[in-house]
Amino acid sequence: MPDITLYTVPQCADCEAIKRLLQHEDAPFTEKNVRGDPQALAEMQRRADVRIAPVTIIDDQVFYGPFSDQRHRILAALGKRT
Amino acid sequence: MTSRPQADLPDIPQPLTYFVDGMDCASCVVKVERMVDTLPGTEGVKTSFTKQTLTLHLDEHQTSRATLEKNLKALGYTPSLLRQSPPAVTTPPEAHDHAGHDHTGHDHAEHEHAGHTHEVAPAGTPWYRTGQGRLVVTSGILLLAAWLFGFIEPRFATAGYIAATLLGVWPLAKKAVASARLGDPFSINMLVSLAAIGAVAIGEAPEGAVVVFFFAIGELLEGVAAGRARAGIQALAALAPKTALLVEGTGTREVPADQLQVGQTVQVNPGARVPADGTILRGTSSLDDSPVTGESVPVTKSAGDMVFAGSINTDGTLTIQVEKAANDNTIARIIHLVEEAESNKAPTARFIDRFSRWYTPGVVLVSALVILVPPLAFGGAWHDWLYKGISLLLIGCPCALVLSVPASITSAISAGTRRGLLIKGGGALETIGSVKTIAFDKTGTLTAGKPKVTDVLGQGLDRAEVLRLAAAVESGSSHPLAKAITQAAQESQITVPPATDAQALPGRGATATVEGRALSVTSPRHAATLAPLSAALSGAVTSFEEQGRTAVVLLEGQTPLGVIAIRDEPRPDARAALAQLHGLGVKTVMLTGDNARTGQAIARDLGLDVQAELLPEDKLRLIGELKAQGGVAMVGDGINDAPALAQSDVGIAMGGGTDVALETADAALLQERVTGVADLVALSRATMGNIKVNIAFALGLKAIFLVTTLLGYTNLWMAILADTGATALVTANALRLLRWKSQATTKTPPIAPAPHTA
Repeated sequence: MPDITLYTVPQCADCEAIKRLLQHEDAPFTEKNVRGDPQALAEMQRRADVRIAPVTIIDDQVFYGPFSDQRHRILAALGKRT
Repeated sequence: MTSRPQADLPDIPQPLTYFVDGMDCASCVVKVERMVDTLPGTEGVKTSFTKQTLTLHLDEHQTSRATLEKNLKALGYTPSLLRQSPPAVTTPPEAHDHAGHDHTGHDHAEHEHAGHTHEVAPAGTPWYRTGQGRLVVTSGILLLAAWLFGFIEPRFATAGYIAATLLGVWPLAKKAVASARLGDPFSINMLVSLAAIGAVAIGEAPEGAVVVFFFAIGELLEGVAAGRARAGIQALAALAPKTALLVEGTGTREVPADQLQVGQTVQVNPGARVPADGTILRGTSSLDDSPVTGESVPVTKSAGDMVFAGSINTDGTLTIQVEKAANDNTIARIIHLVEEAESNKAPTARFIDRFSRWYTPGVVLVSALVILVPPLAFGGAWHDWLYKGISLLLIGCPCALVLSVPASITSAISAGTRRGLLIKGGGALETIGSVKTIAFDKTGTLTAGKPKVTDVLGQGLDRAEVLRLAAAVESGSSHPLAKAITQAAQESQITVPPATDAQALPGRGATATVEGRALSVTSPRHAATLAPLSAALSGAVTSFEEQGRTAVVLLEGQTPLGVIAIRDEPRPDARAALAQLHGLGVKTVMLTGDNARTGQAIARDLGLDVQAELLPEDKLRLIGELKAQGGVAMVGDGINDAPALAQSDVGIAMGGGTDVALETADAALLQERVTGVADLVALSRATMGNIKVNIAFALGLKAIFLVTTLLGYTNLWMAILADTGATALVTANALRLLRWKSQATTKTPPIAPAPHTA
């Protein structure tokens, strides 16, 4: 099982969609809310060099941007069809 | 990530770069970019995900920095201008890597469900070419051969029957063992395996062979039913054209559609089908989106609008920027979602598993008692009672039962998809029909989300003049109300004069200098603080608001010149749809962040309850409360209310062509129609009714033959034949759902309050 961390903010449809996608693929992940949590935000910037959620980190691969950009990359990283 | 084609940039020395506080999610970025794009004089808008900054070229003769910043604040973001740094360039995500993907067919993960699964054969495979089909044909031939040998050489016949039995039982026994490993030893497969092996053991191989054979036929029929349902869906995929006209320089070149890359430009001529999902760069045309949405009325689309692969371009020539690779376009995703949904088991399908958990041990126990009790207690003949016990086991094999649910679910999901109702699984299909309450988001769901000017009142000047001046003041603003005013001026073909010193007053309105006059468009509350409104105007304002409209006042200095009423119109079919839902016995409620007066007025027009002035967390709390009262479905756009959709029992996204909506919602309405919600409820109930009939039918026949066999009126063969008849009937009944039509053909006139005459 790959190690997956998902950085999110509340009320964010793209974050919600990625959560659903990972649950659907039975891929366990750690969710970190970066809004109002400077430590988590700093960690997200350190690992991904991105300030805007959602950010998905699968092992050593970093994905960011809207859900439609991330979806097939996440599936490919999980070894699924795109 | 904006990838607008760079027009000729005006000669501006330096781009502006803002750090935008609060722009911390991808959809916020989209919101900000859209807003900035609509402002006149903005070019080359880029967002840096790395720095949370917005970079753009701004022609300040058209839109001032102040206006841009005010607009950002109005959306809830705080911009701060960075020192003129080198422009932050967006790092585009790495190029699409299409190497190493296998796009031939779908790899369906092998779900080892305890219970009943069937393979998904590629569409167009004849039934006898599938694995299940080959099994049926082989054991059928063996059976026939054995039966013929029965007339010549009975010993061979027995061998044939045994071979046919073992051949048929083998896959079932494998599944039974797998289920037992997963902690479910009492599956239907186990029952059939036990019965068949028992039959061979007591020398009644023919019966065993026939039962297994018919069970295999039942499973085959279910596969055929599923295939019929799928064929309709996969026909959609064939609608996407094979070739596309790629724009290169000044000409076009024909290329295979599946080789189009994201970012390329294609031309679509009148009468042709759109080759890829994308955005219109140039041209206007009516598009028939029926392959994707089931909506047969063509939709007019122009620059900036999304188009779907497979849609028919009816009249204009369009230039389109490709946004999705062929294997990832909307129609391919819908087909994939439907196939997944059909292989997901509904709770009712799990009901069959639950049912077999007590049914199988029950049948086995009764058989064991029949075998053991009479010989032990009453000195009966072992062989006779053993035979009776095994017969019971054989009759107990519920061939028709195992396909009573999946065939119905598959047919219903297919029927829905072809009518623009995308249901992402049997579970959702089952729940929708049983919810007590359906909650609707207001903007963009019950209303079109496009506010329109309904009335214009002038004080000492005519309506056109009020509209002309107001539109000039609002020309630089992206506020929905401002857009409604500028659009109304455009529709009345009014030439809008240029404005200078435009300023937004967040929450109050806008000011500008037009033709040397200091004008403003403000809320009535703000206008009243400057100068009292005349009785006629203030009376009009009050009555507009009571009709669910928003009023704004045009002022010159402190003198009111007129009032404009704006309303976000309910969708034309909203009222009829809600009436249908009430007719189905479902409670409806509207959730909105709007002010209570406007919210109540719209809800009253549509005839539903309302909860107004809600914050996002209030919506979640209300959904939770409704959930506790017996199930709630939430209807929204799938973007702004994704959390509420996720919180509800069934989340329904409207106009759900977007990736996010397709992922987060349990069901998506591909047409912009509220009646789709009522259709979903009706389809769900029709499906559950169909399933109940099937189950009753399968079990009823079983019960009858069980009793009559025990009493000696019928024999084993009749019971087996009856079960085969039931299997065929159940399949036919499930396939009826493929022809399901929505009942919603009642046309009601759209709701438009009578124009206010002052």
